[in-house]
Formats: sequence, structure tokens, C-alpha cells
Amino acid sequence: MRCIVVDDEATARLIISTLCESSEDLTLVSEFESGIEAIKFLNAEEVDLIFLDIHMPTFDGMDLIKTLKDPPQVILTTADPNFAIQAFEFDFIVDYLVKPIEKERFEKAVSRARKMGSNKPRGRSDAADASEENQLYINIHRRLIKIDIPSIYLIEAKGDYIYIKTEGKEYKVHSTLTKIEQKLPADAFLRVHRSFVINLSEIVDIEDNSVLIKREIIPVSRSKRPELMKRLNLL
Amino acid sequence: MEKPNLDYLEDLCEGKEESVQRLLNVVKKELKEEVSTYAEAIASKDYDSAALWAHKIKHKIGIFGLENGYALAQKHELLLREGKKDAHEEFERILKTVQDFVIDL
Repeated sequence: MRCIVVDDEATARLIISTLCESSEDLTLVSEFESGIEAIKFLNAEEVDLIFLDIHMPTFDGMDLIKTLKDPPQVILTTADPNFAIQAFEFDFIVDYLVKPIEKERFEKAVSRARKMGSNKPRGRSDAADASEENQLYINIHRRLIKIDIPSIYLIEAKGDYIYIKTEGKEYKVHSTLTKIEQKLPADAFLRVHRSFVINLSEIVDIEDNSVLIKREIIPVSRSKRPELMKRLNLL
Repeated sequence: MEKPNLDYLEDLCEGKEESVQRLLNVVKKELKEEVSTYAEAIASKDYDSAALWAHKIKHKIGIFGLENGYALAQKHELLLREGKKDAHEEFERILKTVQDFVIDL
């Protein structure tokens, strides 16, 4: 099983690494001291198992769990002996280990993961998945901030940044329009100009080469206008 | 009073001296930093932060086999979260015991 460890304590990471070395079928492919680093990795790589610390500053284990879209199996680690296992509401959490982790207990948890692994895929309920499809997490100053996608009315590109505008807030993110377009539902959003993506449901009116979104006049490229007109429910 | 030991680390590393030493080096370095940051948090009466560091130190107390010390650290952490440092002095005594132990390793 390919696994990773996420823990802000170097000691805890080394203990897990040592325990993995003594297990025949566990390959520790990487270790991370924060949940944000782990998410970046998990977006690009597949693993079978995560050893995940619950208590981490700013972005803890539960935050990471809630962010994972197609989570592998997770074994939680905690230095809280009275840990209330609220986490078992998630099917992919197979066990939790209290630090310092005893070898026998570790092997028992891994054995459980092996057994449950054969029953995959598990994951969350359809309702939870549907709700997550309407959410987007953006990385601002090493914090992942959740945005409800339907609340976005406009995204504007300026230099190396994009500005995501919602009813109450504006977020500046180091990214590109192309990247964020891939994260948005294609039926609800449209790139009308090289620097603008609009939420079609927020259009107030349209003129020849511009569209009014809330109170902002947004230019529409000549090449994008046919697609825009096609997407509207014209009388 | 209970005394720190290396039973946990030796068992974990299946007696391999090199592995035990590798772990000890990391624990010693991290413990030193954590104790220092914990002390700063207590001095500035930032008890939320002190609770976070006490939580991490508690793990090290457990690694060195201090069961009563671990229980006290747990109690101290919870009190700190409530803004109380009633168990601070007792916690400091345990810290000194652990630090005196690791300095000779």
C-alpha cells in the first residue's frame, strides 16, 4: 500500500516512517508537515492510505478530510487519549491511533485498512458529493478558503492574479483564468473575454460588445459573442 | 517518582541502535524548540498557544514512558484551553525531568 503521513511534528513523522519500514507492504511515498502541502500532492498522486494528525495549526486533519474529493483510506493520529471519534462519520476513516503509537496497535490499524481496502470505493454520501461540487477552495496566504461557486458572479484576470468576486467579497488569488475555468461548472460560467469569466445567471443586460454583471460593465470579445448568445434563453 | 526510559523507542526500532539514535536526535531537537516556545507563550499569557505546545510536548513525555507525566500534561493542556495555568508548575517539573534525561543521551 502506498501511504503518506501528514503531521506537523517531525518526531511523529519519523515514528510513522519507522513503523512503515517494518511493515512488508507499506511504502511511505512522502511526508508532509501541513495539510495544504498534502492536498497539493494528493491532487497529483494517488495513495492508498494517509496517516493523518488531527491537531495541526491553521489547517488541521479534519479540514484536510473535508477537502478531499476522492479520499483514500485514512488512519487518524492524535495525542488526545480522549479523542471523540467524530471522524467516523466518514467511511474512509478506518481507525485512529493515540500517540505515542504502539507497534502492535499500528499493525492492527494497518491490517484493518488492508481489509477495508478490498471493499473500496467507499467515500461520502451523494449529498455530500453534490454539495462539494458547488464549492471551491482557494489558497490565500497558505490558508484554504472555501467559496460557494454559485455566489461567484465575476472573475477577472490581472497580471499573475485572478480576482474572484462574490456578493460580499473579492478574493485575490495567484492563478489563471484557464485554471479556474476548469474548476467551474461549464453550464453556469462563460469566458466572455480573455480577462473575464462571468456567471451567466448574474447577467443584467447585454449590449453589442459588453455585458452588465451586477453593476459592472464587462467587455465581450467578438469571438465570444456567438457562444454567449447561444447560451442565453432568448425569446 | 517515575523515571524516563527508552523502552518505547527501543521497542519501536526493534533494538537497532542507529534507528534509536536517529529518533532521539529528532526528539531532542524538537523538544528543545517546543519547550522554549511553550515558555514564551506562558510568559505572554497566551494560553491557547501554550496548550498547543503542551499538546506536542505531551507526546514526547509519552515517548519517554512517563505515564503519570503524560496524564498530567493532558490535564494541563485542557486547563490551558480554559485559560487556567493551575498545573503549570507540576508540568514544569516533568519537563525538567525529561530534559535532564535527554541531555545525557
